[in-house]
Amino acid sequence: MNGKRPISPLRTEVRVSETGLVRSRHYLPLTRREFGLGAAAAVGAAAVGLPGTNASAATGVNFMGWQGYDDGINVDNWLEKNGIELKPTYIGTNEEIIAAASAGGVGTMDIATPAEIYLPVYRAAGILEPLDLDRIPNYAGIYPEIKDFMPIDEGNTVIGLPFVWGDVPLMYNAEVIQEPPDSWHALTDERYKGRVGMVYDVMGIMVHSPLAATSTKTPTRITQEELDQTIAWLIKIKKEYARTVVPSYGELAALFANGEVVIAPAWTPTAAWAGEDAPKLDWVIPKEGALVFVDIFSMIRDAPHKDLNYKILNHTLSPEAQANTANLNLTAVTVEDAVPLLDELPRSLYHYEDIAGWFEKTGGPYPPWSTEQEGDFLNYDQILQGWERFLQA
Amino acid sequence: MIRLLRARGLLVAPSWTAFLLIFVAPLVYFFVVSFWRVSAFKMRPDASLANYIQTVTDYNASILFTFLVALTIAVLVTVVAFGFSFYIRFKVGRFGDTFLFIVLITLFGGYLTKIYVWKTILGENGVLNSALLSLGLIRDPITVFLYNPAAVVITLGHYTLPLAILPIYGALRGVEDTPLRCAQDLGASHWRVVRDIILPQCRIGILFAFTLTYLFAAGDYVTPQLVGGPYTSMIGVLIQLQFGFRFNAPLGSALAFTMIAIALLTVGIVAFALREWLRPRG
Repeated sequence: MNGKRPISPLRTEVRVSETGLVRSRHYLPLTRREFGLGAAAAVGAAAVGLPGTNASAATGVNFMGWQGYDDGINVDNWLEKNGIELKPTYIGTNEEIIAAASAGGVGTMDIATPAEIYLPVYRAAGILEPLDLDRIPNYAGIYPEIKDFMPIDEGNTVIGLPFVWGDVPLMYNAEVIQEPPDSWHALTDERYKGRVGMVYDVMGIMVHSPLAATSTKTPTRITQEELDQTIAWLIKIKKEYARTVVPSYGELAALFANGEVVIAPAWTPTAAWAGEDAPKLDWVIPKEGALVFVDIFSMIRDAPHKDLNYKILNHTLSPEAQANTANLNLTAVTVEDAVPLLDELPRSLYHYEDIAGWFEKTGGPYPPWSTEQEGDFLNYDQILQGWERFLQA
Repeated sequence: MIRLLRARGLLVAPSWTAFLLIFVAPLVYFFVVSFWRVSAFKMRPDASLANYIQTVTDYNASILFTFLVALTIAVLVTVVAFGFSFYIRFKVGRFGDTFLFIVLITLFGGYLTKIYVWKTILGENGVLNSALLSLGLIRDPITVFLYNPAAVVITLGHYTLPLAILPIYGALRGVEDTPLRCAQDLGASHWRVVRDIILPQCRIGILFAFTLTYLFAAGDYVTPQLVGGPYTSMIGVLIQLQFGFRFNAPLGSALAFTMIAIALLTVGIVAFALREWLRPRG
């Protein structure tokens, strides 16, 4: 398995399927795991359980998650055909779901899309409903390798369904950097000083940075000393090597496109969003490893529309919904039967032929961050304290 | 009389209700919360000053930086807004409203649009660099235009300028022409007329302009992330982090109320200074 994948086939796809690209580029900068504009308003709205208006005969189901996932599952107007009016509240961070559910959302919220790596935090908050897999027959179609990362609670009960996955490799401008870098330390290469990009992505950065700055193989289990080393390394990049730190991978794509950065940790679709006029972008999984994330669909505890929620949850694992989501968002599917339905572009971004090998190469998905300090290993809040030091520097 | 008072009370009741629910209640709630603590991702009632102590010890650099950036923006924008308002009030005659309309119409584009406009202008491949290159003034694009505090000042200054022009222009519209002509007929210089007649009469407008601009700049957390680059750590970003990431509303509230206190103090000092400086001279 070669970690480096050429971008050239993507460009051909982009030209042929221009409509798809435009959709992605326009909404994705506002949809993925970075700071979301209007997040506070979204949290507030969800916290008070704003039900919205119910103008149609369809039943309203309150959804809180990433923008784009709701469109993805609505393949062929599935929601309308099934009498469901999805009422979305879009998030900018995973934490917004917890904040909303904890602040009164339990009992009014139905479905949310947390990331697998945050599950202990969700478990600690006690906001996810255990699922009855007998009511989700499409569960059987999930890749066995991905089932290994099924989110479960303390009682070994499933509390979410792997919906999409993706990775954050080291991306570079292949027209400037002819020899593919093999380490995250390329970010501190003097040749790229002032040309390094960074994104305010806690999950992305706080997984690959400990791998680079310390000797740990499990970046979600680090000590205070390792955190200090990690933050020092990050601050050094920010102060001495970075062109800027941007709030989204969409912004990063623009920086790559206009040549302002030549190397950066980047979510894989960033290369496609940069557009066909951008420099040639390649990416590698550095030898230290990289983030692989899995986003899940979960039901919020005491959800008001359980039967409909089960119907939706099962549908999210249908090949059609999976493929439509991936085609719209350039995420990876979790159901094997969805792969033949994928467009060329999203299919070419991920290693469906050997998912297990890809996970082994990246090292991920890593164990979720812990909510409690485990021996010398820091908890999630302590990791965030380090992240704050990076932001303040 | 009682009936009249009752009728008036009923009339203003909706306004008072909205005021209390929308403005007072959230402020009181978050002020109380600022003395609480967080445990296991949940807020626990407390009566501790720990969050304020942490604000002073851990966030002083970001608070100072934010204060300086906001103050710079507020002063620059207020001065420019006064100059522009003065011009359209006294120099362009009946075209004044047209000029004002043109200024206000730039607000229609929205906040994010202006940020991206400035990114397009100041970027490495932006309008400014392209112009300098085509004029032969530089050989390579200049990278220092964007991703630094100056870019934040420019971008936020541009956005807040119309907001500052409105109160100053409104105040200048209230200045009558007759006293100005009288003063000039009696030999007062242009500066003396401005200093002793015009400025004292639009003092409140100037203060409003300064306050609006300062508050907007000090509270913004989007612009610094989009154009501020790696050296611009403004407190709004860190407040957002407390609410959005760390479930630490108590610390976020303490940070916010510290900024509110600094803002009140700043505005109070500016109000006092303006009142003293613009006191009519005998």
